[in-house]
Amino acid sequence: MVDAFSTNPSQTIEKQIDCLSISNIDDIDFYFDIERSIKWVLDNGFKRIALQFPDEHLNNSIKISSKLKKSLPESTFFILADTSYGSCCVDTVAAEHYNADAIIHYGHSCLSQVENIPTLLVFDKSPLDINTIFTQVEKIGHKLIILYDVSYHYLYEKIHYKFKENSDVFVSKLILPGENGQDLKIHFSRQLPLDLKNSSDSYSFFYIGNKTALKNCFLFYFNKNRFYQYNCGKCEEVMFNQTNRELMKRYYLIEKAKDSSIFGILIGTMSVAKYKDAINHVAKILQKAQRRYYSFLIGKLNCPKLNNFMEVDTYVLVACNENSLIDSKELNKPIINVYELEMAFNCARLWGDEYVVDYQQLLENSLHYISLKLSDQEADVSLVTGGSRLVKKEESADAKETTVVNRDRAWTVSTLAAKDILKNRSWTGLEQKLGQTEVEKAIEGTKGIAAEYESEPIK
Amino acid sequence: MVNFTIDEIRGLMDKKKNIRNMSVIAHVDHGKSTLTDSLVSKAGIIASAKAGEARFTDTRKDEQERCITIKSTAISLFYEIPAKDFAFIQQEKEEDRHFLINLIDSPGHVDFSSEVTAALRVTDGALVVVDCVSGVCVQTETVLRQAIAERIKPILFMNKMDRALLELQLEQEDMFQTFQRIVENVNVIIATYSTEDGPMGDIQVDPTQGTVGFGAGLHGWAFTLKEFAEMYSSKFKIEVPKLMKRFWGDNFYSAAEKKWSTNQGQGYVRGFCQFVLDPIFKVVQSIMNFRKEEYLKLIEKLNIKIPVEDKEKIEPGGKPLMKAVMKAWLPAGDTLLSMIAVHLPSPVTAQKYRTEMLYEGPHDDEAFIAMKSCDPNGPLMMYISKMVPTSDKGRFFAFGRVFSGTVATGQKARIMGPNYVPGKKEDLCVKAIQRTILMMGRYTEPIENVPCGNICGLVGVDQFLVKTGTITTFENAHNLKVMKFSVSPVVRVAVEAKNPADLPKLVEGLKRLAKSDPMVQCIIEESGEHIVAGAGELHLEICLKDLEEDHACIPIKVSDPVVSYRETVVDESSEMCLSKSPNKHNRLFMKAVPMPDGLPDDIDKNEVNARQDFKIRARYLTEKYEYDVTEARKIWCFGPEGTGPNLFIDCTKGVQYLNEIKDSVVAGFQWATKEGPMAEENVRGVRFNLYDVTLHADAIHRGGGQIIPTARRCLYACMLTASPRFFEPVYLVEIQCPESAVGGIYGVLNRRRGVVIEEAQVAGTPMFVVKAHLPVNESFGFTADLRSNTGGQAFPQCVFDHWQVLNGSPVDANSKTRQVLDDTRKRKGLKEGLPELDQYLDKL
Repeated sequence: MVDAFSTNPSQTIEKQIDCLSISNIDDIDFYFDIERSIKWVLDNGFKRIALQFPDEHLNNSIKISSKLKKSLPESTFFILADTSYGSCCVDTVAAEHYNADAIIHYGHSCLSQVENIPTLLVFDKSPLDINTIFTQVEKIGHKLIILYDVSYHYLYEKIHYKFKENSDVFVSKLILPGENGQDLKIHFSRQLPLDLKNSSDSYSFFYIGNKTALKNCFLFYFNKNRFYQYNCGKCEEVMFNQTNRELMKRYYLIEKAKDSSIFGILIGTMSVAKYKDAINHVAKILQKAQRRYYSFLIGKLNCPKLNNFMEVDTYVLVACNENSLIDSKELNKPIINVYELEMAFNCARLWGDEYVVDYQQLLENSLHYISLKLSDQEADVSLVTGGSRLVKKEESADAKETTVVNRDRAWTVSTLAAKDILKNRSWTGLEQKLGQTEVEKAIEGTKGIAAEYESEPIK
Repeated sequence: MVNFTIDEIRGLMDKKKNIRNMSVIAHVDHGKSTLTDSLVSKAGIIASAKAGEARFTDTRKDEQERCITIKSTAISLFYEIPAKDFAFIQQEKEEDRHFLINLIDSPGHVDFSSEVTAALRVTDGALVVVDCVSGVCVQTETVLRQAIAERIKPILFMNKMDRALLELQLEQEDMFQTFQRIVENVNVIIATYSTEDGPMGDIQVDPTQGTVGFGAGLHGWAFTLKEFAEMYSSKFKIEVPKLMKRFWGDNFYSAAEKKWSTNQGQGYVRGFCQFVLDPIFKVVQSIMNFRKEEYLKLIEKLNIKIPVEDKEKIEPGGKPLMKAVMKAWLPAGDTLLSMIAVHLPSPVTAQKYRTEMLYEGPHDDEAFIAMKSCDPNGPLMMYISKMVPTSDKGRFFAFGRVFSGTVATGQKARIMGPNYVPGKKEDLCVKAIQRTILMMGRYTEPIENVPCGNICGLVGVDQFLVKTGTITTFENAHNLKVMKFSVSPVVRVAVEAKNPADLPKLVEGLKRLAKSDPMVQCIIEESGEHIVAGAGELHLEICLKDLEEDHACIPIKVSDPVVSYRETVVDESSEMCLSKSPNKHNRLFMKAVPMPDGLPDDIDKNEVNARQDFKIRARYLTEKYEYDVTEARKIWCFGPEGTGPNLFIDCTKGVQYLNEIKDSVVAGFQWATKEGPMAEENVRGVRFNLYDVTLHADAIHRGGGQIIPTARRCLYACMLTASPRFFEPVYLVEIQCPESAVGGIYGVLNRRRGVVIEEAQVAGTPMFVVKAHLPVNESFGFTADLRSNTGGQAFPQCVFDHWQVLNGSPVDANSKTRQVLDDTRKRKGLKEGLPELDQYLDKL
């Protein structure tokens, strides 16, 4: 996740991308589900179809698109690349630019629910030795849920069959967009047994794959259950204190958020369902807590963009599950998610319960919704600065948004604050220095590109 | 309460010239609390018979068990001074002879020095207690130095005379020499930190002035030369003050010739021995040796009235009688109270010279004038120096001193924290004071209001302050100066709840702990660890016990103690460091240089600071540290936190748009100095020079987003090319022990990288004092180790002294530096190893 903030060019060049090596994909028809795609398009009669590729599959994009085109001469295909947010999300905005009526998404997916546009997900297909898994699972021996990465989805039937006899093992099935999963217990678009509880003697998890973000989503939510990770033939238990350590790091960010007075709401998705509700939800909390906030729409996150807003103390990110736990060390400002914002300001939320990364579950009428209750303590000690922080009180609790309120002193103070901030800066605008600078003849500047001007010695 | 009631006290509070606010300060185990008890017994809160055993001011259970004071405790005493003594008072006084004495008993162990600092702030005078057997010790010096810095007038009390008499069996002349040496030692310390023509005037202690007392707190007796001079005054027909002079120093008397002389000729005996020590020796020796006839005669001759309940002790003689007789003859309470009333300043006297160093605001505003004149009708100015836990969990009394105006129950006041800046809203809160209370040791009494010059507690302001703050009714008031502690929280442990679900309780507990101790730091680190930092092992032990039992009330896990390091450099950067911004359009050129010795300390002490006028600061830096004047005038900032001991200096010439990126570079500098390149510890003692800058012509391409990370990278590169090192904290250790144990001490110190700097015998005693520098990192378990190697005879006091460069390059895999780097990075969950220079340094 640190990579999201990488500024070092050599790192970017040398970065090892953990995907299947490209040459291995001989059988494009099989790997990219060409037949299934054609059938899906034909069945639904789509005319304009966007094909969204992650970076690692771009080299195959032309082949795939021409294969599809050949079989479906009536339809038009577009290739979408360089997705604005995470390549795991379906890029509906880009698709809309081309008036597409359907999207086929390739590669890894976070399985977030998409509104408005029909989507077909085509996953990677990683090889897996089911027998090894079988022996590993037998070794562990207690009640188990098998989770797997989307790239193993094509093997679901096989895995399921292998464990058919073993009643202690529950193989979790992916719930794909458009599938109905109303009667099931579902987390992160995966079906889970109904009697699963957040406790150490309930089921353990057995995760096949290497996606840290997904692993953390489960680890944080079911933070009392045991967790095993199977990756490249190795099976390891994720120790409990390891998880706790990760959680404590997040707790530090929450504590910092409590100290902050200016927030930035980062819109990290434009396609995941209910993202607008989530933004409104965040805004409402910040309003009630008397914090100022600004919304930012900046696409992919990186330091140079975010650092331009020096006065923002904390960012709240509204994004898909797998992009909601951002390590913001390189930014030196916390980037928290919706749940963490609630932890900071809603004192009805208790630490130690399920840690809900998925913002959809926090909104009104969903499983983990808790109505906002501000702390009635008037002041508190900050464990980050060691100083005291005063909890700003809402003036009148029952005032509605439309109620006319007197502009009392509290208001005046908050408008002055921006002026104060500007005053603290040493540079507040262009320096004209009229008459102070001598007039000089223009001289020729440097030529070439910024990374290496022509006048500079060649490395 | 035999002697006073709350109403009486309230009446006295208005008579501000007859108030004395004082603290009792001393080295650990020199007998402060015991002595305080004899004062308390005199003022009548506990029965006289219990004085010496009760330790009234040790209010906590562990204090009574360990026989050590941990928290400072305040009590109010009522004293009616005898008419003869009343005449001795030279400062302004009220008509009547009733005195209100607010006394604070403070801990003597170095680890709790912060409590002493808090006590000194609210008092005007200090009773310095010195054990006459051990003499002046390191903590005596520390607290005395602090007292003088706070403009607190000291008086001296020589305690434990009973030990000198009974255990050491000192001769009279030896005892005089011991006393004289202690007085001299104390005066040397006073002279070092004050001048005679200073604002407080001459504050040296002098037995002939009556500012030095002698006695035994445990036995409840004490005297000054005045008591004896009064006894003999009529006999010699010499006035008391004159006679007092004869009773000290080189004044000798011949009984045969009935003449005084300044030379010790044949038949001449020192006045002090002849008239003061001799009667005491006679009484003590006759009783202890059961010479009944002799002591009965003496008791009668000296007109000692033994109280009824002690009459039965007359027959058997021995120690119980000795105690009873001495207590009846020279009651400690009377002597000390009279010393306090006569020699310590009233708030009216003290605030005249203390206000200018207490108040941060202008020296002519309403608050300043009211404080200086101690005006009860002026605006309220009160300093809260500490928080005292109440029986209501999580709530505290805010304890402090009213400097001007009157604080009343229900009064609306401005509560200003240490970060309050006049005119801004930060750290400020306007609230009504729920209740004012009088604090007396274990008990509290509600009181309607308290006028200036007094010490009291407030209910209901604890929520808005963490440790200290200023309470005022004056809208334009500035803060009262924040206290400066003599110790730093250099020892840290990480705590976690045994059951992770208890985290909220732990956090709540840490917040309470942070309030309850003036020094302890409770913070969350980026790694998610909850850190408790204290002055030493004992301090931490007490804090953690409080946390577990009183504040959090959950079982906690505590990590091994760790030390916080500082990152620094020892050379100038080996090359000009260049870093390019992410878009490659902006370039920064910088170098790092170590600061000259002493400059980081000057910044710590605020001699050089960010708020100074830049010209004055530049002159100081030029004169003392030979900095180039033009450069010294272009200090962009201090860091970390805008005040720390690192400098960023603009050494560029004629760079366009430079001002525009200043804020961004400063932000990068604050960040880089807070988390250094080696192990993300604070940086200390590094000066960074900015030599050149290339910027993109369009403002949009040289915004914060481009400059902040670049500045940070460049600063890291500067440090990595300038031989980066760690500073480790070092204690000054003072160990007292008998000669036989000295060898054992050396052994223990050698094993722990300790360096002995001084070894000396305490004159007149068989005790040795060894002083050494000991790295804090090696000090864990030091006390126990020392005890086991010296048969329990050595007792160390460790106080943070300085930062010392840890030798060895971080590149060398076997060096201590590398080990510290690896350990710290591992603990913080950072990537292993020293970060690569290429990450930060760019090439042209």
